[in-house]
Amino acid sequence: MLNKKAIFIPTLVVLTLVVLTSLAITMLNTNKSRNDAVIGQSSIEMLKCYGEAEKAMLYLEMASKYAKNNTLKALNNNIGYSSCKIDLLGDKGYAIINSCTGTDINKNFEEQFKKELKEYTSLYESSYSISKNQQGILEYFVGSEETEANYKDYYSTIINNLKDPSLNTENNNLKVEFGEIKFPVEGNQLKRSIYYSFKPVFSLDYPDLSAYKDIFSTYTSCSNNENIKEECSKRFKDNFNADITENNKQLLVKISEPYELEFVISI
Amino acid sequence: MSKKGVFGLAIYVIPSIILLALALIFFSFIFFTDFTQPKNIVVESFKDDTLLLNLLRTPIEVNGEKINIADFIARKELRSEDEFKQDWNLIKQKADLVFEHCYPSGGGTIAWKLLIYNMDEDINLPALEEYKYYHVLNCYCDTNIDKIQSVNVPLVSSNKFVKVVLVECLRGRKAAC
Repeated sequence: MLNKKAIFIPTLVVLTLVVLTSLAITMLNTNKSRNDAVIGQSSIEMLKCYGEAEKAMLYLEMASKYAKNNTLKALNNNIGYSSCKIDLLGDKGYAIINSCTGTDINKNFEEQFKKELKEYTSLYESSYSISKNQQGILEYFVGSEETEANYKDYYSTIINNLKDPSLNTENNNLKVEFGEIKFPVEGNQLKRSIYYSFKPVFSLDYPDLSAYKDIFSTYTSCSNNENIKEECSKRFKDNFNADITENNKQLLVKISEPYELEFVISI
Repeated sequence: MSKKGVFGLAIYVIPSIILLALALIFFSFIFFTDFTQPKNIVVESFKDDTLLLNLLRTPIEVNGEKINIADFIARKELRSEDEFKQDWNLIKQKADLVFEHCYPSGGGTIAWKLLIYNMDEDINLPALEEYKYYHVLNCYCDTNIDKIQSVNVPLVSSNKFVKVVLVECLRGRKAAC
């Protein structure tokens, strides 16, 4: 049995062995990860991801703007209703107001807006590219071509599959709020998963849809009368200064203010 | 040797030899292992697309309407080719302002050109519509130059998009150009 004094040295040997072994293992591991590391790579990867997000934001902002314009055109074709049957007079199609459905103009606008926006987002294609340098300085640190294709695809797919934004009205502005978008940061060297997340919110002028509401109410009030033809002609002339043409059991109504609208009332 | 002497040898000398051997192994390991240093890179070679994004967000006034350059490009299908080329001068003026802020040493520091690719076509083909403007002709920029930024812009008239590419060339790269 060793005495108290004698146990000190063997303990020191064992402890030294443990400390030096763990130090050696740590040094080897650090060295292994340094082999793949390049100074500034992770920063550049983050900057590249941020750039992609900015590009996506610009695209979404423009797409929202154009989707609004396209929505107004689509609504105009249906006199503000969600859908109408179309009648061909000559070589031009006119919406038949009697067949139209969906009179909530704001709801129609929002539904159509989301549909139009989807057309744009489903088309998005990321322009992500690997930085190339003629001297080949960067070729080893920005990844392979496979990485470029992968991330280009990731970013494109995320925007292509975006959920519909929520639409809110604030001080005559249409607030388009997208959910959180998470872009993966290219990060092979440190074997980690880092995301850059952003939440795009855009404000657009809310269009004046009051004329459609007036058209709805004018039509509703005149169509309840027995003499639809005279009553509707009179009311649309009085309220909208409309140009009315009678045509084979139909009234062709042409309005120029505030929007240019042409539709048919079936008698 | 006395019994006490042998015991003393066992508890002091042998562990000391082991300790010395361990230290020797450890320092030889450090000495002979090839510890690599992180590779240095030329970070300045990295170019993000901020300049092009700034350029596209620059406000301009066309026919009394306040839009930005991205909108202007997005409406290109609504204009005739001649009209579009005529209005292109507006972009030149505004782009000058953007570039002057980026390169405060004043004009003459860079040459650049803006390309618009129609994405209906194979992008590997040469640009169908190419509008060139060389800010200062001290360097002829070629599309192979590394300072290339690109952003996709949706079109107003149809659900399509165009690829806007900005090619920059620094004066220092004149020889490479």
